[in-house]
Amino acid sequence: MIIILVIGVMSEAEKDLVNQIFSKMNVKMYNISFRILRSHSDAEEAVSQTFLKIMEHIEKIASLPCPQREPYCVIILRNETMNIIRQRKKAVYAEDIDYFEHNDESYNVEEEYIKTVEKEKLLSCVDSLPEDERNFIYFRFVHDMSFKKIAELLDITEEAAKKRGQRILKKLRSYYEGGGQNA
Amino acid sequence: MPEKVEDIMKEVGGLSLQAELQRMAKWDRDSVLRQPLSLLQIKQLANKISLLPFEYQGILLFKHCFNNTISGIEEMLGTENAQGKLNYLEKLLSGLLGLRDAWIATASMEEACNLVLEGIMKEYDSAKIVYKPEYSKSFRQKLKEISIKKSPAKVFLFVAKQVAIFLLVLFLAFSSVLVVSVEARTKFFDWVLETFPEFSLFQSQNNADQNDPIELTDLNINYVPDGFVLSDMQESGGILSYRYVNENNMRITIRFVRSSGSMSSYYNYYNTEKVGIEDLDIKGIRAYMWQIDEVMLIVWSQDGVECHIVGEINKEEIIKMAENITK
Repeated sequence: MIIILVIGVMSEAEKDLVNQIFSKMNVKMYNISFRILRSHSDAEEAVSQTFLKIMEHIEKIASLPCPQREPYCVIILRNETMNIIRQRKKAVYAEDIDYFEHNDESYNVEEEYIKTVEKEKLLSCVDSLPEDERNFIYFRFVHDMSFKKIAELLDITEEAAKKRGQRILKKLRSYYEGGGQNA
Repeated sequence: MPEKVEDIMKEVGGLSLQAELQRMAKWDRDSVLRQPLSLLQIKQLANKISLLPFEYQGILLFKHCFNNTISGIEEMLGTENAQGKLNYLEKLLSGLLGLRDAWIATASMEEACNLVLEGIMKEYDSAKIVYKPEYSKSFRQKLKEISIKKSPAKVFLFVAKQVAIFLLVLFLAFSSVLVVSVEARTKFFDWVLETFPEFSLFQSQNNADQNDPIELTDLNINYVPDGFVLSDMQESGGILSYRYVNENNMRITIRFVRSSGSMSSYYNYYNTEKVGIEDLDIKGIRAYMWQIDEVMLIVWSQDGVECHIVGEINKEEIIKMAENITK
């Protein structure tokens, strides 16, 4: 439906440009996405989402110098491919939630409240860490970066990155046990 | 580490990061001190950018390679608070590069992001085609709805040329120098300055009288500001580059490009959004000069060669360098 609306407002020249990009890039895009996603339907989804974005933003793409158009579309493809990976993870979490909702009879409000308070306390401990240690937490836990990548980013060895991770967690634990006020 | 602890850290870390990004969104980018990087540092920066999550890379590339607006980036990547993320990333990368009280200069960010993009495109170009896509019926149907009837390249070129001609007409209409001076007008037409909303394309158009073009190495650089020494020289694909550095890691790049190959090159496109392009006379040839942050740029064409100088030097020095490039 969205595609039909987008097509409706595209000029002939813009439609031609979309076709031109599609003819030139779609097979390679599909193969790149497939290599990451290992699923034909997901690779198709990534390519179709990419072209939906290209159509939505064809005006911007047309305004770019010719040599920049292809790289621009590749960056969109990378992002759409990652979105599919993220959606897959969410789907797994959603399945877990359904499972617990139907089976966990021990669930009660009081327990949930305690968990929330504990998390708030832990959050205050994370916020108390120095900037570089907070960034480490973000790399490792929020972005799921490997120790190898973190090590490269910080110009240290992988072993040193692991040790730094352990040290930060130990520090967090000590903050937490001390009441979360150790900043 | 037990999985549960990792899940809790992910959730709590995520909340902490959100708060951090909200704070960073309010950061005044204009008041930040910016520091240009050396060539080596730019390569290090590019390496670090390519280690970042794809979303972060996307934000930096859309901003610094394609000059997207913040709302454009958010729309394109389906992300929120791109301003906060951009500020966070630039601060983070500046810290990782060892800058304490300054952020990386925009021109250096652009150079590093372009290096990252080059790497991504090399990977893309070398990707092997193993599978033939088998799109679903509904997707094929959607594609049919935009099927073409005319030659696509011709139609787009027509539109682009219309834009270029419109801008040229505007330029002529408002330039008193060009109206009164036939000579100046002839020189102006030595160049087509094709200006898009955020970029300018500089392409020499004087190939007709260049039946016997000189070798790029025939051009001599007779003046370099004090303290700068040649650090690198590269020739490939009709482009000859000289790089000079001084002891403070300030850099100057001189690039000679064969005019005939210019359309296939990346290097003639410059991000000139919000900069004033000054046109001036260098040895009787029209040249264009502008400044981004602390970096001066000048382009002109001589002896059938497009000449580009980019450097952390002042206006007088860059003009003197341009004037002292001879056959």
